Amino acid sequence: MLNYPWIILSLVGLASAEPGTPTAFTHMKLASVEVCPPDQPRARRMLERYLTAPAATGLRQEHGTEGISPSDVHLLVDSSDSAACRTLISGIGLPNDTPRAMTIYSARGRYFVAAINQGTVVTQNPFMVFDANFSLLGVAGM
Amino acid sequence: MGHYMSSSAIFAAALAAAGCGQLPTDARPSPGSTPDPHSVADISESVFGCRTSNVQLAGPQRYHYSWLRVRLPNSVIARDGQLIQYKLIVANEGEAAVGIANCTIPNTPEAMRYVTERLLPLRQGSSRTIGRSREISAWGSIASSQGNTNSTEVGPGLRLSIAAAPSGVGASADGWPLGQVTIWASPDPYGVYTGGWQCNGNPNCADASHGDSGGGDAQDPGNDPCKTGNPVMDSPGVQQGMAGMWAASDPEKPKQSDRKERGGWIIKDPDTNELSIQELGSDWVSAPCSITPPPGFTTNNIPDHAIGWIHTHPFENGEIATTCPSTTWKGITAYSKYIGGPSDDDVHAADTYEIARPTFQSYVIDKNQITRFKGTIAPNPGADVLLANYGRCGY
Repeated sequence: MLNYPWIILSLVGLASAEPGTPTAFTHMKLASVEVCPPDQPRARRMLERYLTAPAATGLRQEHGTEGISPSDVHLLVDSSDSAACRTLISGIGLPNDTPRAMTIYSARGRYFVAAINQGTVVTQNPFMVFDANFSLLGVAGM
Repeated sequence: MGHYMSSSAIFAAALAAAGCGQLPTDARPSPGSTPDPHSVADISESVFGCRTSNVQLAGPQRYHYSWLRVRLPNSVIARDGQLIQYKLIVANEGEAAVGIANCTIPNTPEAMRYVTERLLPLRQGSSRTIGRSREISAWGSIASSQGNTNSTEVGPGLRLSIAAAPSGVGASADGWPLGQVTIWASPDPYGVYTGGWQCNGNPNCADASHGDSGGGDAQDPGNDPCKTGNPVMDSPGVQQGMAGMWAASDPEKPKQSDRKERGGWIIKDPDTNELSIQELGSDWVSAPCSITPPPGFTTNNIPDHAIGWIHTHPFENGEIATTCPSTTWKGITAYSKYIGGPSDDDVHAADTYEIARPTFQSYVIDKNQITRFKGTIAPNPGADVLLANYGRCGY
């Protein structure tokens, strides 16, 4: 019985913390809710190379992504894209040669998933392109 | 070059025979003229050149690259002034090349013999003997060894293939890998080996192989299709290094798992300003789609005189890379298609190198081109990864 008031007071204290103040409670909450991964400079660089590099012209034609410019692309975020993020993340199996982190973008009915190497191996990274129905159109090695 | 360990036996004789100074270039007959070379025989000399590479059996570098000026007596110059691309390859019993020389020399059997004798440690009277090569140190013995099953018809009087050492003995005292050693010589750059320096039969390109080393050629650089205008790319030492790394990558192997990335540092000799490639040490792990640095590697481990790095991607633009890291989608494997130029990991490495050395240059060779690139995040932010593309002249 004596424990209940203590628990209630603790929750009130966490809820009244300044917005943005990291607490164990808010961290747990975010970890359990966030689906779409954050942006990464390297992922955006891959995206820009895919969309603009002459060497990728053939792949862009295959994927129907000609004409999409980097400025057309937006990062998928939880507030509007959590279902898409969940579908992609649950369906993709990344190579296990090195740790990789995904970032997901979208533009004009296409989803782009960059899987960035987080390890020390200097290798290639998969850049996947999906259509609006989550059919995999192809993978660029970048 | 102080960066290299002492060379193995192959081409060591050439190092001794190679001229070191800038020699007059006007001794070479101009194309179309028909001078009588014997009128000045053995009085003056002409200078020709060979790009060479050979395996290092000791030390951190896998290959040693050189640009050799070869002095030839006028007596062996073709009467019509014609040159050829002359290639010598030494392969071990696994058919891996352990030494390659690509020369531009007069198109005469005498010149071929002359260069061969100086490039290979088989000269009569030479103290550089290896295994049974002691028994066949004379040219006549080489030329007559036609019964060998590995012999190759390579030109008039140039059927060369010899067993230079008994099998499975290990390494000789001077570093030569003993075993079934086949020595080929070919005036046809396509005839024996697909790697190495080739110029597609273009005489201008052939001349370029010794044009900008000061090696004594009268070719107008403005007509040289191999020139890029990039002094690093145009350096004979770098070209030779790239050709060697590309050949060692086995890009033509149909089984992709047999290919491997190779890489090296671009070294600028502080005394001569000459550029060369110092291959990554054997502690770097090469795979078809990756090179893994040794544990603990940092930019502090980059050689002092390195001005850049270069590595290979043994793939063609758009090629399905079955040995590169593959993803799965709903349990089904999805291979990636190679996009030419640097991978993002390469660009990330350039980011790292440029933090330590802001002017560091980065290059990647693939089947389509050579690409110069840079980092884009720090310290040189910008969207443009690719700085320039160059053709691979001759290999």
